[in-house]
Amino acid sequence: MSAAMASKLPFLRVREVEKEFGGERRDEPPIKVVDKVSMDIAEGEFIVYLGPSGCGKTTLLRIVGGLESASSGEVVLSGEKVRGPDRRKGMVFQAYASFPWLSVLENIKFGTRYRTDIGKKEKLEISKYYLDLVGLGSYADFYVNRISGGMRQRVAIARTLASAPDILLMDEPFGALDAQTREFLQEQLLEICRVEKKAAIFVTHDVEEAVFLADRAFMFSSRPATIIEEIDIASELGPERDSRTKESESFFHLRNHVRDLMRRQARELQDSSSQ
Amino acid sequence: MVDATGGAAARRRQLLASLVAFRGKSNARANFALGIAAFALFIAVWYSIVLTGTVPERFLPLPGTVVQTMLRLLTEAHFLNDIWVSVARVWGAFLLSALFAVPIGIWMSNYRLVAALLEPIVDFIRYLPVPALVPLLIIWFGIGEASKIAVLWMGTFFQLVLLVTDDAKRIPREFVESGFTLGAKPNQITRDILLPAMLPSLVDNLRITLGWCWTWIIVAEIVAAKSGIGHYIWSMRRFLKTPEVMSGILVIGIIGLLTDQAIRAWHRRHFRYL
Ligand SMILES: Nc1ncnc2c1ncn2[C@@H]1O[C@H](COP(=O)(O)OP(=O)(O)OP(=O)(O)O)[C@@H](O)[C@H]1O
Ligand SMILES: [Mg+2]
Repeated sequence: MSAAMASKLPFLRVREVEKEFGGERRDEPPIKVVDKVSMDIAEGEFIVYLGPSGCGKTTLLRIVGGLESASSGEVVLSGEKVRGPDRRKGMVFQAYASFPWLSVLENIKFGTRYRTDIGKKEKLEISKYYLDLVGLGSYADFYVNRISGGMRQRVAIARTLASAPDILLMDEPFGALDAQTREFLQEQLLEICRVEKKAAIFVTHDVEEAVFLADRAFMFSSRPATIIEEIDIASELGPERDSRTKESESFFHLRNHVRDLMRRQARELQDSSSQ
Repeated sequence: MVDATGGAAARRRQLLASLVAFRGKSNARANFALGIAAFALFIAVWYSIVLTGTVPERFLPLPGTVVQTMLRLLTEAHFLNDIWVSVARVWGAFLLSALFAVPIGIWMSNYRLVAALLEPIVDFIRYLPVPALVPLLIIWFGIGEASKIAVLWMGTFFQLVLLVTDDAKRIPREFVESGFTLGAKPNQITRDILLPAMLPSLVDNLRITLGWCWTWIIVAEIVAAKSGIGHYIWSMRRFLKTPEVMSGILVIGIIGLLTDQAIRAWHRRHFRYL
C-alpha cells in the first residue's frame, strides 16, 4: 500500500453494509440482520461492538472477516475489497475452535503453518513466544481437551496472533473466563495490539470490558443492527490503559453512559417483544 | 479388620448398585467378569441341550467336539488355504472400496455439485440387496476372483461413501473457517484439518465396513466358488458334517473378533486425545 493511498483511504472501511438471511423459500420471509452499517477504522485502532443479544454483531464481524458475504454494501481493507476469508483477517470465534488432535503448542504453531514470510525456526520461536504470552507455557504438550475452556480460548487467541493478521476479529473471546484471567488477558491483549500496532474489532457484552479496551465503541440497536451511538473512548480515557484505569473518574462516567445505553436497548427489546 | 471387611462389603454393594442403575458408571473388571459369566452360561445351556438328547448330536455337536474339529482343521493345509483365500478377498475388496469411498465421500461433503450429482445414484444402489446382485455380477465377471471382489465392493462402497460424507460434514464449521482465516487454501484445509478431524470416526466406520465384508464374502463363496471358508462350509453341509460346518463359522467369528479388537486397540492408542 502506498503512502498516498494510505492518506486517502482508511485502513478498514465498512460501507453501507446490509445483510439479510433466508428468503430462499417462499413461506419464509428474509430476515434483515444488519442494516446500513458504515464505519471507518484506522490502523492500530481498537474497536468494540456492543449490542443486545441476537442483534447481528457476530454477523457483521463475519462479514468484515469475509466469512459471510454482505447482501449489499462492501468492506474494504487497505484499499482492497474483502471477498473472502484469508490470513489478513484473523478470527477468534465465540466457541472453542482449537483442534483437539493437536497439543497446545501444536495448535498455536498451526497459526504459522501457512505463513511464507518466515522460516521453520522462526515459526517455532513465534509459537513459543505466544504460548508464553497467553500464560500456557507449562501446558505446551497438553491436548486441548485436557485443559479448561478458558485455556482453550487463550490457545485460539495465541493461534490467531501467531498467524500475524492485519486485523484481529474477536467474538466474545473472554466470555467464558473468570474475572482474574479476563482482566489479565485484557491487559495482555491491549499490550499486544499496541506493540504490534494491530487493529482489532472486539465483540463483548461486558460494559467494563468494552470501556477498558476500546479506542472507539459502537453501540448497536436490536435486530437489524444499526449504529445507535459511536462512543469515542480514547479521547476521554487516553490511549494508555492499565489496572488503575478502571478506578479513574472518566472511566466511571463512560461506563455509566454505556451501561445506560445498554439498558435502554434491552428495555426497548422487551417492549417490542411483549407487544 | 472388621472395618476392612465392612468396607469391602460396602464396595460390593456399591458396585452392584451401579451395575443396575439407569445409565450407571461402568467398571471394566465387572464388565469382563459378567461377559465371561454369560458366555459360560451359554456353553452350559448348549451342553445340557445335547446331553439331555433334546437335539440329536448329529445336528448339534458338543462344544468340545466343535473346538476339537476346529483345532484339527487348523493343522490341515486345505482349510488354512481356504482361510487365507477368504481373508485376502475380504481385505482386497475392503481396501479397494475404501480407496474409492474416502476421497469421493470427502469430495461430496466439500462440493455441492458432486453431492447433488452422486447422492441419488448412491442412495439408489445402496438399497439394492447385495444377494440379488450376485447372479448379475457372476454373469458379468464370471466365477473367478473378480466377481467376489465385485460383490464385496458393491456391498460396501455405497454405504461407506455416505458414512464418510457424514463424518466430513460433522466437522465443526469453526474448524474449517479457522483454517481459512489462518491462510489455508481449500485443499490444505481438507488435508490439514478435515482429515485429521474426521479420522477417529472414519476409522470406526472402516472397521464396521470390514465386518460387512465378511457377511458378503460368505454369500459370494456359497453361491459360486471353489475355495474360501464359505465354500468349505457349504461343501461340508452336503455330507452333514455339522462339526466342520460349525468350525468354519467359528473361525470367521474369531477372525472378525480379533481384527475388530486389534483396530479398536490401535484406535485407542492413536487417538489418545479423545
Ligand atoms: N446463517 C443464518 N441464517 C439465518 N439466520 C441467521 C444466520 N446467522 C444468524 N442469523 C440470525 O441473525 C441474527 C443475528 O445473529 P448474530 O449471531 O449476528 O447475533 P449476535 O449479535 O452476535 O448475538 P449474540 O450477542 O447473542 O452473540 C439472529 O437472530 C440469528 O438468528
Ligand atoms: Mg454473537
